[in-house]
Amino acid sequence: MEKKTILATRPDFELTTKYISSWAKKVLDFAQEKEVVVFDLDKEKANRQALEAVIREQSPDFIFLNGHGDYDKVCGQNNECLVGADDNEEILSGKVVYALSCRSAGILGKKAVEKGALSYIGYTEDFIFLYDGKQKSFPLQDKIAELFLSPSNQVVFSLLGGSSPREASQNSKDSFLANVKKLLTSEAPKEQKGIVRYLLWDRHHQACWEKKE
Amino acid sequence: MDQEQEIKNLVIARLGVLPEDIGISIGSSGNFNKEEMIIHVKSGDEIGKKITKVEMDFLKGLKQGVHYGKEDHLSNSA
Repeated sequence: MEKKTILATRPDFELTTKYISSWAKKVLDFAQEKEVVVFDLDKEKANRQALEAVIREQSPDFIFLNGHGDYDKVCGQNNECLVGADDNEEILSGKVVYALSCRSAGILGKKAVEKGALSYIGYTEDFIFLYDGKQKSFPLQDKIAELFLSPSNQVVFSLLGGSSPREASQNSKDSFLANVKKLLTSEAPKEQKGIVRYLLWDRHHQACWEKKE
Repeated sequence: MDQEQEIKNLVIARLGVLPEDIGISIGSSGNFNKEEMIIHVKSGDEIGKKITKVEMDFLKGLKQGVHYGKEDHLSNSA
């Protein structure tokens, strides 16, 4: 059986990209355990030329974009535009894409699907996460950030496990909601209950665009 | 007190009960600690407006049971 393949971009040049790229690595480690072929464009390798080359030469099944973004783009290292609407969105044709990036499902995601992407899961508004200021140097030990980035990772875990994009997005939303419920129980520290509104924000703005049947 | 100021006060009060060492990442807008979040809300700048929008959307969503997962999902065909 042919092995599945995933390409990830993981820029890392300030706090937000450090966090999301650290957590994205957990997904890639899982993928490797499952014998999925991984193309990991981290730090300086998260550039447009490398992304386009890997897509062209390796044609990965899944693309996991991490980085800053806007309605019409997703960026890489030092905010270089990697994929832009009305620019190079056709490189996502035939791919299932998850963008952990602000706003890119607003315009880029829809355009990518119009140009042939099988699916584009992303966020129509800012992806917001909270973090523990005492753990900034150790993102993977940050239990506050985990509340946000673990549900995000659920998208890719689900896709690699064989879920459809729609199911993967739903699983992620369910995971956000599970964390909301956890925080609303009496066992959760009182001061953490205020985190709920940010989890619900991300959950609400996660979108899954798919090709029309 | 006008409505805008009342909303700001509400959001600031809500931020006040977050854990002391909390930080927030709002994408390319940057990272902020609790004190900075409150300053942005007070000043009413773009960051403050975003924080306020999160709060107001949450309060509106409570009526619809958003914390129980009752909402329309953004899942569609392009």
